[in-house]
Amino acid sequence: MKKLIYINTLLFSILLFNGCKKKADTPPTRDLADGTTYSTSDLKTIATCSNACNHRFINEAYFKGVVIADEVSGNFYKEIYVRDAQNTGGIHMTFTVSRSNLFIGDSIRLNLKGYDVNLNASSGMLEIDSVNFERNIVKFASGANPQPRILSLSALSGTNSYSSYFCDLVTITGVSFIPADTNKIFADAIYQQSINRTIQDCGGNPIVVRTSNYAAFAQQKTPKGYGSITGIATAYGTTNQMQIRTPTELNMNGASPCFTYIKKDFNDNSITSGGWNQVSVTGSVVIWSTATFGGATFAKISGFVGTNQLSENWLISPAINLAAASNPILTFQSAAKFAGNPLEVWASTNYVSGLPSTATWTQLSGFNLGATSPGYQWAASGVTSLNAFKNTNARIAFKYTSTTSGATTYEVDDVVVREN
Amino acid sequence: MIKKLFFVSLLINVLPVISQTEKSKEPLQVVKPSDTNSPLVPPDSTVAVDNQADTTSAAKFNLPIFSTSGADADADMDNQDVSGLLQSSRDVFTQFASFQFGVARYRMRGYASENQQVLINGVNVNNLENGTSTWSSWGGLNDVTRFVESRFGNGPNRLAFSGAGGYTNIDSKASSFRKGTRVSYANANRIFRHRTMITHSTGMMQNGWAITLSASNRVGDQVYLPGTYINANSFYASIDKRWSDRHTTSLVAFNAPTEQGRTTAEQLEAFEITGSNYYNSLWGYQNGKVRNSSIARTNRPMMILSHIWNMKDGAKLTASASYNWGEYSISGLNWNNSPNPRPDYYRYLPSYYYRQGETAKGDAQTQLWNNDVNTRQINWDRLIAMNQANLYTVPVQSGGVNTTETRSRYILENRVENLKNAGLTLIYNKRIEKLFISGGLNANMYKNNRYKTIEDLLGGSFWLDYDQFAQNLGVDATYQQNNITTPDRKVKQGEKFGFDYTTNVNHGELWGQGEYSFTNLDVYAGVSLASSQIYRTGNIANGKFPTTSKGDSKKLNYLNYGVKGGATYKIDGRNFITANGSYLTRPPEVNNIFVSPRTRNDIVNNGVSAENIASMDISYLAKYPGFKVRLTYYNTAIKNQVYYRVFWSDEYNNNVNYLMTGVNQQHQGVELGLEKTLFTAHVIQGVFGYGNYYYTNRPTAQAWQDNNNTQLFSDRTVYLKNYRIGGTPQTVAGLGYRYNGIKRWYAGITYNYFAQNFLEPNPDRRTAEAVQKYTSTDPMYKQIVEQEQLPDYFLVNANAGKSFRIASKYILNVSLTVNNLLNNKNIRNWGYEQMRWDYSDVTKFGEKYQYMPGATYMAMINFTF
Repeated sequence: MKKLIYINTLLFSILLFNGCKKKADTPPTRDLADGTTYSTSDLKTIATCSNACNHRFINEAYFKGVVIADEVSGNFYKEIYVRDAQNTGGIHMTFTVSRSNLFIGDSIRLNLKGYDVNLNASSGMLEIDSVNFERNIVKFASGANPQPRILSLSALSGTNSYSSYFCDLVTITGVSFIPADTNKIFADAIYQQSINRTIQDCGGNPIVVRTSNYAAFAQQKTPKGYGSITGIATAYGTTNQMQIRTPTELNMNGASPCFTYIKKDFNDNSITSGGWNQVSVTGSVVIWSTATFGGATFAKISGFVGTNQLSENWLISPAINLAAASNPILTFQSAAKFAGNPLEVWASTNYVSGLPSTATWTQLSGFNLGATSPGYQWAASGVTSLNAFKNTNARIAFKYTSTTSGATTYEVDDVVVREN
Repeated sequence: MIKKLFFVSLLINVLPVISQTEKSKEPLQVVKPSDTNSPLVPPDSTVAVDNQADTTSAAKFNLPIFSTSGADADADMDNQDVSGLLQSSRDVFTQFASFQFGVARYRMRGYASENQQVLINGVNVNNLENGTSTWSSWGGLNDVTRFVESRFGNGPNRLAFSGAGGYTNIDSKASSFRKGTRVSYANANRIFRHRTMITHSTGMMQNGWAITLSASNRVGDQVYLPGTYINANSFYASIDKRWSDRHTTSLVAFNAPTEQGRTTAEQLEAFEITGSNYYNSLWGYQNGKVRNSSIARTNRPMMILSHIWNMKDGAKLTASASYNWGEYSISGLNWNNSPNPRPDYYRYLPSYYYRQGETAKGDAQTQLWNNDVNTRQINWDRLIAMNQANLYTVPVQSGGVNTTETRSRYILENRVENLKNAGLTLIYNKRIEKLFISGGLNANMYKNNRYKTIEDLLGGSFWLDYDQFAQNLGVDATYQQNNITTPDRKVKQGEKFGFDYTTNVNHGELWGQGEYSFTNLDVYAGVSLASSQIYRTGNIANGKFPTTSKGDSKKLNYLNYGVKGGATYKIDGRNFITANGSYLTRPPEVNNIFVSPRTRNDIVNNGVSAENIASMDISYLAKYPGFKVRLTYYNTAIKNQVYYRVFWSDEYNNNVNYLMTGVNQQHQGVELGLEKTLFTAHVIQGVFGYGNYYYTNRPTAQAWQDNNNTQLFSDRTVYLKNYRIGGTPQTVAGLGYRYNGIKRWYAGITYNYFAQNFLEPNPDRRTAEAVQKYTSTDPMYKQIVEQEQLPDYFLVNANAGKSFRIASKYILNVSLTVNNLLNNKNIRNWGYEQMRWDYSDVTKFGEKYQYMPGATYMAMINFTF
């Protein structure tokens, strides 16, 4: 019995001696001090183009951020976009191989040592090329839900330029695809063509939506409606563009408040481009032509050719399809000088070609014209409803007349037919 | 654990020590499970890399533990001299370790089998290359391998010099067996379904001859694990001739040709999607029939011719010549320029797609796994169809276009080890009063030829003898040739190809031991001196290493020694304290000495120094009638080991030879075994083993590309210190109760508890380079570095049996054992970390596991006449 107690004592003493689990060895890590983490704005500063648009990190430093675009949909390939943890903007990282297994919402950390950070000289995008994600990127969390920065194209100017959003996730509000690009495939997966589509806002400000033919949604069609679009703000050369992550982030189902059926700004120095036509009924020397003043290009007509002429000239729009329109309106800018007949605006639904008299025209009213005195002051027309002309062949026309006793000079610009 | 320990201690204290005057004639027996030789789950600890590189030695970790099973063990020479301390199977802890814990891959004291010496009739049968003993060599010969003298741990050994793991000697001479015939049949649902054994022995006849013959057959087809099978026969013949009282000659010959379809460890995902913890990816349907791709075949006969000379002065000299030869092979798929045919390849698992965010593809793949057997399993028919469609013209032979022969994209190859091992053993024993001296001499010439053969071209006409991993290096067309003397060879079925080399070991050992008995103290001391010459002989020159692949490598010579000693203090006739120690050095495992043994003669670090093992144990033993106890503390340090693996590396896009040198480990712990007999018929046994086996230093790793001479890195520190040795539960406890009926029947039940079971760490994950992009707070850092511990579990086993004596002449025994009585199929008891791994996502090539089978039984009947 005594011996058994002895056994117990021995047993316990051995266990007490050895029982504690030894702590397993751990390989050393590179825990960096605070202050060695660079934000996007830090990197933009450090890689500024007064310094060759480039900075190579020789020492260890970190960039931390959340992935905002990944390779899953195929629209991005061997690349990701990351927004920094400090929320100052995005950065573009390219890889030499695909399948980084880094996904939207992953919080990552890149060790910058050995990498060049570039501020792309032509596009202005902040980039790091040929990142070895296997070796240098750590995914330390996932499931974050990075929210887009919201912008409107009309509000862009100065420091709030589109380039200040480069590489970041943005939502552009109040846009629709231009009519020529609605209900079209995003890209051609069959003939292997990436495609640019254009969206614009109510002010007609455009931006390109670029889609790779490798995108899983390439063969899907662009929406017809109006609303917002979310994607990465990028640039190709000097062309601003946006690359979407998935079409489900296009919220463009609404009816457009500003769908522009036609816009004629004469900036191409052409009176007839876009299907416009002028028909001189009387006094063929009095015609519309383009002119430029103060940076603006516009259409100009004057019945004073050496002397006041008797004239009647119609500037007729191309056929505008207003069959599906809900509340179409006309707006334009005008300026005038010298006394004479005021400019008239007419609309038709059955004009085809030739003299205006071959069709039925209705005169429109209720718009403002530029005052003849003191003269050449631009005036907005205000809204003129085209509700009465919801037809596939709606046209508007500016009818200019002058007499030998009076000939006003008219300037017209930014003729827009749009949804109100 | 402490709680359990306390419980066990309590038990000791509560049990009254009743001394019993009548010693039970029959020693306590747990019924011998027939199958200790072949582990329940066929071992496949091979690191399943993406191609043929399987290097992990499986046999190394199947520590054999034998138990004697008969009073006949008393016939051992000089048994009465051994102070009653010989730790044979009657040691209750060893009994549990073999019969109860074996199924859990429990290795006593955490030792790999190279630390335990196995002898047959005094002849060492440990593999000279790696020290392991492959018990399957005599699988099924249970009847003639029953008489075992075994001692686990440090201790005296009169037959050879053994170290930390002790030794086991199987006495298998014809004259050791009683006259008679024994026929037995067993039915089981573990590995085999049917086992039949027959043994006949003449006993020592008047004319001085004794003959024993034994044969057995084991068969089973998908008995427990799908796709597995066993088809094994064993033959044994032994003839003894006693020339006189002084001289006996004994010849023993045996062979156990075995063919076994194997299973493998899998990632948890594979078990989950198939809904079975016994999913086996190694098989598939061919023409509607199940076919296994991984077949292990053994055909290695052994012959031992011994002469025993009992000298006039009482000395005994045993001289034996032995020869062990034959093939061991494992088959596996190989492929060229084609998709991986293994169903569990990581890219075929749904997680591969989910990981990339491709949910739809992942769901589709899950559907396929669920519904299509050809996705879950190997699609043999498809492999054959692909081969048959692959008309191929060998570029250099393009006189005309080949329109009749197809080049196999997939083949089933055999990786063969063809052994020739000749040995000479001399053992001298002599008693001089209280001194017993033993000594001996061993000499071996060992040649193991490794090569590949084509088992099946799978419908194709030929396989080109190219190294497909060297093809892409293609600057020089000869670079890819596996044999530059036969370039662009079309290999046909059964032919050798790939690599062909021989490892040579010439080994000689001289040893001696003295044992001396004082009144209360027995002491012993032993020494050994061994010389080994190790080298590789390349039998072919390959295009990658035309000058270094063929011929003999540098010959490495090792001069090793061992010393040991110990003492037993007899407190009184019942209580003993014994202490032992040993220190020995030995050559590293031969295959680990070479940078890439399959392709070239280059030697790691231009020569690796010897391993050394220092071991001590101290025990307290009490032996009362009806009560016995053993308590042991042991501490063993194994140092300067070499670790070698070949695996596919994503980083280098190549097969990589990964070597770690200077690996040190320590094994220490406590073993407690006790047995109490109550009222003659009730026996209670309790065992407790607390182990602590871990790595103790930071070894150095290097890696070499397989197909060129580039050293990928060297001197990489592996932060392995205090990681646990994997693959065995380190702590175990067992409690058994057994009732012995009067009419020679018994029934017993045991409860066994397993704890501290770890996964063997992948060294590459424990380097600064592996975690270089992480900070210590990143969750991945912990994932990569932390060692996984498997859940603790318990098993309840039961057994019962009855013995009939018929006409006082015949004996009929029936018995039944049931393992895992509660049919728990969720015991994940073994696993490993894949060597291939992804720095960013360790789960991509996740850990692989095996589950223990649920309830299994074996029913046996044997008849002795």
